Amino acid sequence: MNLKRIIYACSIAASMTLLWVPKAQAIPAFARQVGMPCSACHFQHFPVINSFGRAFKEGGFTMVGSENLITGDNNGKDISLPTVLNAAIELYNGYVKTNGPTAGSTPTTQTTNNGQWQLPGSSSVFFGGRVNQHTGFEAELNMYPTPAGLLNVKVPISYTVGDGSWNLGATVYSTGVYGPSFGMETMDTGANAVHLFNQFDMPTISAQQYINTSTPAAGIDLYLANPDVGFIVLGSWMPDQAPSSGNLTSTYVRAALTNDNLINGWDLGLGFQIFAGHGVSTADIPGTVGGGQNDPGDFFASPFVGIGSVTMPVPGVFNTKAYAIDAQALGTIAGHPLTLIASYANAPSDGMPSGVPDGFQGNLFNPGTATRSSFNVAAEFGVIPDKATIQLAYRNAHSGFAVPGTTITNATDNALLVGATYAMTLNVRLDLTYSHYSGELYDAVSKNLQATGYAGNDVFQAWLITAF
Amino acid sequence: MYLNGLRIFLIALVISASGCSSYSGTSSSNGLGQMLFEPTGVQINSKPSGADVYVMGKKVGKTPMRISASAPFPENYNKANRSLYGKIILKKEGCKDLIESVSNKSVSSGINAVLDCNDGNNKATEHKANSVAPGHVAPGRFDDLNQKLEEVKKLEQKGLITKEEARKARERILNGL
Repeated sequence: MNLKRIIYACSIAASMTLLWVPKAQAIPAFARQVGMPCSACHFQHFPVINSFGRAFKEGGFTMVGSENLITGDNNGKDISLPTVLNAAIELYNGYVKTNGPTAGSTPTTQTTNNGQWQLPGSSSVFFGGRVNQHTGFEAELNMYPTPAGLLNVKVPISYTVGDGSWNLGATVYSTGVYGPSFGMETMDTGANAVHLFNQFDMPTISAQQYINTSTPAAGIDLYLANPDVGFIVLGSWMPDQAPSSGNLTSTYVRAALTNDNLINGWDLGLGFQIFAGHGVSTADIPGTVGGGQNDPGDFFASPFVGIGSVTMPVPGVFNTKAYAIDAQALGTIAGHPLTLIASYANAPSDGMPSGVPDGFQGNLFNPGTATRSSFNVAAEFGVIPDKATIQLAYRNAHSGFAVPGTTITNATDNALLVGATYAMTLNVRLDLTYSHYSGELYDAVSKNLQATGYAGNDVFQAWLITAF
Repeated sequence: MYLNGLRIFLIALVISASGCSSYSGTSSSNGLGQMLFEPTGVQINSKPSGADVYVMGKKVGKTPMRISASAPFPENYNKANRSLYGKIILKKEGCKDLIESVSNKSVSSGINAVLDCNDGNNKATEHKANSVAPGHVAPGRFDDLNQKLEEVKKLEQKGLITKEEARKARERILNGL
């Protein structure tokens, strides 16, 4: 081991030990509000949510616990604010190694193919909580990578109806990374990326993430939800975040059944999503759409780049068409928690809906020439409950891309993921993820067609996640 | 070459866990093995000890004991058990049942409960506040104490009570311990 590596190791060790302070009181924003530990809302670990987390979210983040409220004379109807604006900071430090053939030989040309420390890879600050009895909010401000600024924001307004166990609500939202399901989603299947148990290779564990539903989006959702029964979301949205003005030209429909009584000790869910409509690209939308799940919410883009990448005309019109089916089961086996998720997603390559003037003949969720589809199954098992987990996921997918010079019209794009998490102490966690990609997209001919940034078909990632 | 990153990271992990830093050894009650392999837990102590501990309606042991931090927060939040979610109930013959909500503080500092028993040995003002009907959240005993002391301080700062009155009030509160 050379000196450089020893210095690397020691610096990481120093940061770990500084963070490794037992009995830390550091807690993120919502935990501060409800006065409960993270395990009250999260199953195994952040950000997977359990049925209580679902109830908290469907109630519009308005639930408070030990925190004092500022209330007026009118029984809290005029004003009902927490005395403290709750905030939290998330910090991701890590290491990424890919096995692509192009390794840079100088410091300025080195890539993840050389192995790359990312200190930090990402950092953001969250604000969240209660605005009044019926209104909550969540805002995430990106600090790194640049550009810094508003990343995600939503304002849910929720009223209890019926016997008090139903919530009727509306959410206004804008997101740079989480797509139209950001307004209201409480399943852990990747229907929205925010609750996936592995945040570092989401397209391998979730079909919705494979077809890249995590796009910039802004819109309005109406929802009806009961944590013991399920939820329905009807939304109008535009695939854009900045500028935030425009027409809500796309539709989002989501329905799911959730149940924690059917099988004792298990929280079950089954649902579907439908995306429809079109969007208008402006100078502010990135020029490339799709082309390999280059999701800005991911820390690592899936390693196929080049084949099928298309350039969005600016200005231009494009399709937003896809559907997905998902299921989950959260429970315990012999005292060990287990998360099981499965999902299927499909995005056609067809052209514009009728009535739309000439525009770009493509789909936001599939820039290829054939149907993009994916079936994913994933599991996370708590080896040491509340401390350590192992993860396994498999993807069977068609990319929607033809491979030039071959007879392949819809290249397969399969993946296998093995991961582990280890909670060092409160709010400090180490995540290890290894992904292997296979299929026609990685065959010899395809490889030769890849751009110089091709990152191979093996990825190893190690991330130290700190939230406080 | 490919696994160099992993190797470096694991070495770093071992260095930090092996006690090179003074920080890693600050938890005198927690050995390295406990830190590495034990679940995040809630330590439950009671006075008198030997109280039965109930989590989600099931008896899980006697005080002093440690439970996993997620035990009071199971994946289910169904109506039938909703009043028990996030709570620990202590029962001992001759004492009133005591219900404690598991908070952030419980996870970091544990629960130190004082039961209100017939023999009067453990009676104090705060105990009554902690003995509440099932389904209701009992405020933390020391939170309550802290709140009272803060109130006295505020009244003194606002000039609503004299220094001497504040001192007596503090004395009365602390005598209740």
